[in-house]
Amino acid sequence: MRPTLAIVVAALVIAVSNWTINPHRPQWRDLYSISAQEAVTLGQTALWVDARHADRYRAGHFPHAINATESHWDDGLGKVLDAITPSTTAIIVYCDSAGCRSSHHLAKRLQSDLGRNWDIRVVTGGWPAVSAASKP
Amino acid sequence: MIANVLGRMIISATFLYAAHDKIVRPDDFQSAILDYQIIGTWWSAALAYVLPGLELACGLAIWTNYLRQAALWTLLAMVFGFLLAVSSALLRGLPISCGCFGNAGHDLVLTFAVDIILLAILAFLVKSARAVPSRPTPST
Repeated sequence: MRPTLAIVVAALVIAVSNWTINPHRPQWRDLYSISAQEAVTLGQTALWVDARHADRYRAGHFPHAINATESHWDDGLGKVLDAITPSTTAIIVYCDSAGCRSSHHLAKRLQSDLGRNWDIRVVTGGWPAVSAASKP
Repeated sequence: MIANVLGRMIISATFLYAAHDKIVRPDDFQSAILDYQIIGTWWSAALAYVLPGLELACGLAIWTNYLRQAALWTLLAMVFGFLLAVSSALLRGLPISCGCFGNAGHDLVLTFAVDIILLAILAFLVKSARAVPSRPTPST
């Protein structure tokens, strides 16, 4: 039992050290995923943000989705602020695929810049799932 | 003996590599955990720090042959947990990547197969560990 405890203590020391020095901190709350089906049912009551590269966005995107990326954040945030209307109930973000992380990063930036009162969600499965779910 | 050393090298290298990206980007790893839709945000954040810590500690322990048996049992339990999570995601048809090696997306079926292989190697190492004793821990 004692050797296992030593392993666990070592792991906790690594974890706490990483938490202390690493700037890429996870969110302890307010980072929510949404399934593509659920997101599509929200339709235009939500503001859709496409976090993919501009070329892929131009090749096809969810209706009325705006393109915003972390690499052009000021421009992207401006577009989001312009697109928000009084009837906007949520902000839905998606990126290239199930494994992509840009939608999560963008959602966190939006949550940080717009405030915690906004319901900001990331689509599980990314664009392929959104595309499949929005087909009639 | 050779199989034992080879198995130890494979296991320690795999988990040291797996720990690296997750320690560098715990935020990315949390996103991967959340994609499984099993636990909530707070627990996913805690796991995003603790799991890579365990992987690193166990990887180093097996590499250095120090506290090896405890590290092997810990990894055995972890891989079993990973298998349950991956199986659950497969059964629910979640369109996600495993998140096992940081940003590199991996197919869940492939991940399931890799986990089974890791589980087999770990079971072999645990069983053969009695024949090859770990370096003694310092007596107090």
